[in-house]
Amino acid sequence: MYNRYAPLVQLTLDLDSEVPIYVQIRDRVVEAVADGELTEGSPLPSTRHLAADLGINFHTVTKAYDLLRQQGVIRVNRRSGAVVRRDARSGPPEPGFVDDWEQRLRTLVADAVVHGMHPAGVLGRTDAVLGSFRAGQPT
Amino acid sequence: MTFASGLLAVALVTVGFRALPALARPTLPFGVRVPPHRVDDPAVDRQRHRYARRVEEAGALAAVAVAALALLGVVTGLVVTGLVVTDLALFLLASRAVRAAKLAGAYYDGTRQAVTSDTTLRTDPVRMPWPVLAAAVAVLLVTAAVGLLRLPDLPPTLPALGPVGVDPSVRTPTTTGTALAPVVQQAVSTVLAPVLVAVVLRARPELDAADPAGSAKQYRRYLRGVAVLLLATTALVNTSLAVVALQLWGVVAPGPLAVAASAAPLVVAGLAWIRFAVRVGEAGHRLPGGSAGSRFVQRDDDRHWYLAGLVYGNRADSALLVHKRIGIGWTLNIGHPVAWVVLTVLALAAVLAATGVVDLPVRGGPTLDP
Repeated sequence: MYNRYAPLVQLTLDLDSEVPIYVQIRDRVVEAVADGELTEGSPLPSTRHLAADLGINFHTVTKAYDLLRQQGVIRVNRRSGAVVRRDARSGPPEPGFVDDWEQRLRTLVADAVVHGMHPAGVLGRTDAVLGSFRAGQPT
Repeated sequence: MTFASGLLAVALVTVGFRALPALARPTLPFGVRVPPHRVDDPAVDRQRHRYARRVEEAGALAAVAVAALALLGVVTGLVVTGLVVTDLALFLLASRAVRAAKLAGAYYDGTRQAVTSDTTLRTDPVRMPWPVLAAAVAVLLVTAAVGLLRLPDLPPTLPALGPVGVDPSVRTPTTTGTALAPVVQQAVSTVLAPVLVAVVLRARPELDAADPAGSAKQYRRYLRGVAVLLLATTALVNTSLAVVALQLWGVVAPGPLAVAASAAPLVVAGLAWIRFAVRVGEAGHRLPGGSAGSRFVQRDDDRHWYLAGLVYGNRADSALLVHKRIGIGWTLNIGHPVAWVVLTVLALAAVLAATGVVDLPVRGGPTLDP
């Protein structure tokens, strides 16, 4: 049953971005889970529906869902379709995730260093972003 | 067409076309997409004023023509048709001018174009308003029950179905088909309406990347309203047909009161749709809840829209139905193969009906049985 107070989950794709569309879909879904808009067990639209709604190729959505599945964020099966597999309350990260995440973080922080951001600024912004994700807040 | 009905038709056409720009979404003036920060551009405003003035002038000219032709005793129906064509041409001209201004003014320079989707519209969709459909079904069942009870006692001939109820001066032989024709029409509309609603509920949501959350909330309410109105209209049409059926079966005497009773539900339905268009607006843009703030603008897809935003065709788009740019409702994506199947079936049905091969159960048209 629709709940008017339940969070809406919007996927907005920047068509002028250099980031591929399937990566943007992957990023928006992960952000929605981090923000608590999607939780473990939340269903996602079918690839055909999402592709038609966004006016993009169906294979692009399939590629995004495959990536999310490989990264353990969603699970896909024939009967229930795509469903969120884990959120912040699903327990500690799986083995190997932290190393992989640190590698990506390293690149991101390197960008900040190259462009002359002050270390305090980097830490401050990281704190602010972390604080903006409601799902990560202690209850 | 009499003088009074001619003047009324001219007034309705003029008011309808005059209201079109006011009812349209601000970012779609004359079917051309413009970014939110250019909706009040002087070039767009100029076209709005020019279009309004020309439509009023065309309406005044048509009214004079209707009056003159009525004095001469000439039929005025052609004047109304001419007025519709003229107003459509004025709309197309305004659309072309806005598109030219958009290109000349480089409206989309410096913007970031985006598309947006609300996944909850798919995972928790707007449901079919079954209680409203139940009203239409109830009217159908009651009418059918009365018809079946009256069937054995009907006279050898029945009054013919006319455009507004029945025409007692023309009699047709009584058969099950002629006697139950209104019930068949009720049944057809009662079956088709939920199918239409189901299709509409699955159509691509019309959201705005400049306001993803606001437009999603507005669209959900709009969709629910359209679904309720479509089914309520079916119930009202069935009620109107029930009054016609009662006249046909001699339960109610034909006359002005019966005509009024038959027309009233249709008038109520028409007024409800007008109120909905004014209060809710196309895709719900008049509802509260809209809030700007996104750094994006909705994708400019003008190149896929033709005839001032009346026709959509995009082979790369997998959506079969898209929301119209003008008015409330959806249109087929003629770039989709299924759209051509639908159009072919409709064209075949129209040709077969026009050539008399099949009798469509149209009110006031031929009856189902000989």
